[in-house]
Amino acid sequence: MKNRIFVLFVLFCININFLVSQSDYEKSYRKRADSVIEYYKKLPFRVDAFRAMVKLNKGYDIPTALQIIDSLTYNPKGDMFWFYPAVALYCYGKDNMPPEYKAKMRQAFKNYTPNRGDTENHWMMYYTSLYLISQEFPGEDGSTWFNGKSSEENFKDAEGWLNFWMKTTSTIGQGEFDSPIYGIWYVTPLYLLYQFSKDPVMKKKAEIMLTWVIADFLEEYYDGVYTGAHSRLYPYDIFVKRKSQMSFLAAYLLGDRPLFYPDGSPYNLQYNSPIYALSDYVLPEIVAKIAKDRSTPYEVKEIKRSRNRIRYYDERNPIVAKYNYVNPDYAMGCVQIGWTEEILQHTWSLDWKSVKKDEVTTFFTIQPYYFADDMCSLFPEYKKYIVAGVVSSKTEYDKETKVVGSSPFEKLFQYKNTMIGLYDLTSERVKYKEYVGFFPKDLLVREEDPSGWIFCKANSVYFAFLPLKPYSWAEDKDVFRLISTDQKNGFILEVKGVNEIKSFEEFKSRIKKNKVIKTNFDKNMKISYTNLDGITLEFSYDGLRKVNGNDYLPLKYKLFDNPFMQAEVGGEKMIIQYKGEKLILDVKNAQMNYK
Amino acid sequence: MKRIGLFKIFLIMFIFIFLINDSFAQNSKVYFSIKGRKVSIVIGQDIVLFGLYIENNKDQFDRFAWKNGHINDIAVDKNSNGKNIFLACGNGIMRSTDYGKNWKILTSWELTEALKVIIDPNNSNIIYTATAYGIWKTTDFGETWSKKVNGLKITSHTYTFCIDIHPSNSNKIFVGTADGVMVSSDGGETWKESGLQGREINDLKISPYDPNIILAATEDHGIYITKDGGKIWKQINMGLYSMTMYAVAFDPINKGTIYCGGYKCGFAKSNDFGEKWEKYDNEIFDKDITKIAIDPNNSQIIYAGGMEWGLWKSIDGGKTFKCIAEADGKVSSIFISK
Repeated sequence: MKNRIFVLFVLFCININFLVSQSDYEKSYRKRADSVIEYYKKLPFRVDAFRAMVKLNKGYDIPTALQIIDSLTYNPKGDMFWFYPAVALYCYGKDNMPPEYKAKMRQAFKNYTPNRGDTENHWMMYYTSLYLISQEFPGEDGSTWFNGKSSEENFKDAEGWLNFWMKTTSTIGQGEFDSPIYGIWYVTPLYLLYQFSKDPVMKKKAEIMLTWVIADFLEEYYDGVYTGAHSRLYPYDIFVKRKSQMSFLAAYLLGDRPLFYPDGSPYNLQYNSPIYALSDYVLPEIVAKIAKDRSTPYEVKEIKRSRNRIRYYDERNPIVAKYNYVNPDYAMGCVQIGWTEEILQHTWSLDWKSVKKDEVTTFFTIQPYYFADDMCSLFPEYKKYIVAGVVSSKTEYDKETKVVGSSPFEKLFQYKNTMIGLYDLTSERVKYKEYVGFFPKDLLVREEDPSGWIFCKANSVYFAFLPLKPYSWAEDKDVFRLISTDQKNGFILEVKGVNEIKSFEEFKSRIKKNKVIKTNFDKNMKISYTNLDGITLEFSYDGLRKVNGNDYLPLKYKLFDNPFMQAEVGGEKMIIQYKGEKLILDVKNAQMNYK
Repeated sequence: MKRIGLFKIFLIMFIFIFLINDSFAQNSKVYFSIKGRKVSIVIGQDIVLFGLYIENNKDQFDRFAWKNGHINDIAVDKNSNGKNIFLACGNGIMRSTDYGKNWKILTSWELTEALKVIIDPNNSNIIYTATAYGIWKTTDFGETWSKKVNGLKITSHTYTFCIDIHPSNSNKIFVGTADGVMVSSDGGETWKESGLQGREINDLKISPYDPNIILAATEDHGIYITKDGGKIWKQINMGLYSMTMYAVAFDPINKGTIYCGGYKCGFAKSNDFGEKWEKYDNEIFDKDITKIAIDPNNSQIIYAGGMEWGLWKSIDGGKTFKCIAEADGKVSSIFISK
């Protein structure tokens, strides 16, 4: 009797402690999670693992959930896109799943063979799923699994890849870095791994890497947008940035935008969010604070890496040096050196605040480029067919009118609010001898000055664009395209927030006085520009970069270097700091320490 | 009495058909794989009708249930009567030890994009795979694998697209890479250059009757032959309609007769080691031919596989062809067992 009273007393104390210690931040986070759960719980039948997962987890409308399982396990398809939702459904829903449905799902993991895919996000989904589901059914032989391996073999294989990915990412950076779309397929598996890994070390590492990837995102988050350069992005998401999957994730994590319309229909709801909502993981508040603080400008310098190169390269993962300048009124970022891939990389952009729904708040240029050898360096296919193969799914890849994709013949140099772009399009590899600038139609002002500068005004930003060579205009649905076809080409861009300068008129008049030196440009492809702050940038196509006469070396960047996050290349450790708080993510030792 | 008469006639007819059916008489069996269709399919979509096909009767094939859409090559253990089959796949190396009914992925996450698989002709426990990331070897029938890249430059040499083993000296292995031919004389432990550097090798075959004779099909530079084991290579393109060639083959019976296929140029044959190629004006003359296999028992029977054109067969030494399977399929490999 005494023992019982003691146990009840302890439980009471724990509950009281929990209620007291749960911060406002955590309470509002949990409220959002609950709203997602409530929404999914009540959804009607559709072949959607996540609604079945929530219904089973919460013991609500089980018959519909079972109907969904029937459909999901009848002739499955989707490879890893089937695998991870199915594993999530099993793990979250098994406690309320009748034995015959558990058996049905187990049978599906035997009969359906998901392809492991050919890119890193595919492998992340595949190996996380394999890790968790083989952990669920230990001691079973190969005849019970789709790939003929035993539970232990599958577990070991998946664990090997996951540890490899964590080490690679925390030493030389991500390959599919900073993607507003593909980022989700790292975040979601890590949520699952954190929630269900029975190995405490793997669980902790999953928590660390989940925080790592989200922090990497939120340091560059600005007004609902994942800003700067992106490894992979689809055309749609360039012009509708606030509807990207990662922007929806931010709405969930930060609560800075509503998840639902007042009528209860989804507004900024990420479709994997039930996985997050059911999880115990809560984003450390320090990261959320960083995401919300845009009070002072700061630079973000990062090292990333190319996707795996399988031929024509001297390195498997050539280095990528990335830069972003996040300002209270705008953010501008680019890939300074290197490129991760040629198909979907968004090499640079300037983004600013929105004032109305569906406003296009971005400006960028690209050099429309495609080349079979580049694709062969990524995929083991015949050269003569590879472009057609890529275009079959990435339809814009070989088009002159494309809006996304990197070109090795585009070189950029950015320092804070100023960017210089240079293009040498004389190579036979360049089919479309042009670069294109995308000016949104809904800019408040876009005027061509006799000085050669094009002055633009938006709600929170002024920018001045100087094409170095003649150009023409073409009109699209959302943008005016500036097209410049000279083969030795380039531009200068300078940006100011509306709070940084007295007026647009002053901005224009001062910009026109700035010094531009481009003597013998067609021969040396070299340019010097002194900006409104008196800073002189020197840049040449062959790699010279100077700021006020001093060498500027992006290849010497740290893995992460900004006021909030520090990490060394090769370090397997990130220090996150905000005001007096500090959080250390130690991947190598699987430790997460607050100081 | 009538019944016995009918039975006798039926029996005689059956024996007659059995004898004239070359596949029964010669006991060779065709395997091929499909990894694409005319209608493009991306990862995550259903990949119906991809996979491995095994001949069950003359020109009739069973599709095996494995749905992996990325089978790049097939090897069948010649000592197993078709029981032991290996596949090189995007997911790694797979093995069946029961004629294709059940499969196991033998390799770990480290071995991916397996493009070719070959069994040592003198020891079925030794198997090599050429991958987009280098050569891997097993000496225990696929149970464990080790990477063999000593001497292969990243990434030009580690991109290995084809491999062949010396028929009598198992330690001697030739590999076609994105930058020429590499050779190992110690079972893959070390590699050195063996000519054609600067050429991307799409296919490579060692002659079955003289291992010093090797053929290489290249991207943009046609066909090469060496007759001294890889020291000197000679370009042999007279009569070819394309300089991008994907497949080469030796006639298993007639010395000096060789075959090739390539980019939009169909199938060509030479009876003098490529001094002059003969190109037939047949059904596949302008098609992309990526795979060629010759029946080891009857070299009049030739199989050709193409990009989205299915599996084609000739029974007259390549003069004429007809499509016998999967007319819109991308044939990624053909294997004929004796």
